[in-house]
Amino acid sequence: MTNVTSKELIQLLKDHPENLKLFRMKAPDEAVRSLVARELTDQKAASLARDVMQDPVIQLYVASDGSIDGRELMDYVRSSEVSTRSGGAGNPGVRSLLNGKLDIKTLLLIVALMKLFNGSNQQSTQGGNLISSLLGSALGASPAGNNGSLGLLGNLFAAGSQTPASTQSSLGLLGTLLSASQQASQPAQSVQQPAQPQSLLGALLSASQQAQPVQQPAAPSGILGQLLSASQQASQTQAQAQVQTQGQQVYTLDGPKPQQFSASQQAQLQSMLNGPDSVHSNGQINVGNLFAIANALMGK
Amino acid sequence: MGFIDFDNVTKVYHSGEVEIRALDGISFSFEKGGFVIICGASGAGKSTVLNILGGMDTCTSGSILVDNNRIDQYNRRQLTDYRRFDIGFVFQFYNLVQNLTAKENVELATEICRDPLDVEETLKQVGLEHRMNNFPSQLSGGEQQRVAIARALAKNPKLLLCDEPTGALDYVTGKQILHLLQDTCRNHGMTVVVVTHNLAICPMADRVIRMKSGKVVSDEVNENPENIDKIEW
Repeated sequence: MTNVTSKELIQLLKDHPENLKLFRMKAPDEAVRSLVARELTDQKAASLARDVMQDPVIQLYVASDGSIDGRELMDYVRSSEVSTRSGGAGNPGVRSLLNGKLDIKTLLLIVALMKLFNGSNQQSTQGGNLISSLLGSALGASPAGNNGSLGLLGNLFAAGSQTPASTQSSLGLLGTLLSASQQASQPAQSVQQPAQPQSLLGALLSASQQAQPVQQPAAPSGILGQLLSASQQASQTQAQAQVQTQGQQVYTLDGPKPQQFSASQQAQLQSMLNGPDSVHSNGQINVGNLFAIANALMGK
Repeated sequence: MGFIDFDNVTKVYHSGEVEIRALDGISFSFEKGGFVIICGASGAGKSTVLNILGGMDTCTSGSILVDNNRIDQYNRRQLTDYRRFDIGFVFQFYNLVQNLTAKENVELATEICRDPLDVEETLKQVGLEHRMNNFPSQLSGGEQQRVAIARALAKNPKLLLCDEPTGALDYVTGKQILHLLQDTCRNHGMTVVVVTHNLAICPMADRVIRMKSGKVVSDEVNENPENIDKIEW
């Protein structure tokens, strides 16, 4: 076992998530030793531990302070992959996301968008916490919600005619979320990034808020809270919200219709999502790239 | 019957054909709002107690009541909810996401739970009002542990469980963290359970449970707990 690779170890953890808790209870290199072999060299243990702790799904688990069940999280990840394949949606972007090629903030963004989507269709049972019901459904608390989440996640970046009806407005949601900045006189891409992009969602919203000519009500504290606030503002204007998609279709949030993406558009989106520009060299998310993705989603 | 009630709890692991009794029929009980220290040498079973109490592990037999709920009978989903809503954890290692700021790390936990406290206010409480937007790598060990404590507190848990919370810290910083935990207990009525091998800090607790080889060897109430500032080791 001493010659195990990082990839094998991460796979082992995903296959046997009951072992994940070791990474909460012990130092990562100690957890690696407990799992792999006591006689691992310091260097090897540290290297494996570093790689394991860079996996966004494992990071999310460890940092959730016990609030997420490892087995359910991994079941969800696996079922997302299977669902994506068997559903024919074919979404390497999603698999990349779940396989750890994307930054944790991107994962959180997706999580937030999923929650916003859920929240826009049903009342949260837990007092409106932004991602609580999302995680609840993501972790299998609600089979229906879970299916919806899978569909949403599976189709967020590759929506097509196979998109389940319940997931289509996610594109509209993202579109609406960002349409605020598009409605402004400045194009979204010209919005300057905040000097300190310490908060992806905050920065995203901040940018769109800066771009809006009308004054916004005071935003609630918290990055996700701001996103929710923007979504709520967006939902107030749902009746008017329309997004033009490259002349193919117009859809509204009130009556979601499939957003059609061509194969080349899908490839472009996935390339943008997974490309070197998606994350800065310091690990920070590239907000400009997200705007570009959003614009591409909206056919701009 | 107390707020926490362990009754004849055992935990048996199997390593090959060898049976390891990590907990060997332990019983204790304590009330809400106290500062409890569980101490003992390595392998005494104290972390096992904490992990079972925190819903991260299950016992082999016996009963465990927390606020009148039999958590030993919980299924996996109920245990997840229990951890999510009722328990705050602080470990020796901070478990922070390196590319989220202090504030975002706390937000991550609070967005999942039920009645969270205000994130900024909680960070202020732990003395990090000027470090909210710093990344973990820009914080000292003590500050990172404060973020971890803020993350646990912001969940507004019934019970704060700390496993060797000062194990990776120097003497002065460790003392500051214990001070913070003691203040949290005193000022907010939070039940705090600290597991440690450092016997010197026992005088700061309202209750001291000593363990050895999976058994409780003593269980003492301390009528006059000392301020951590007065304790030297």
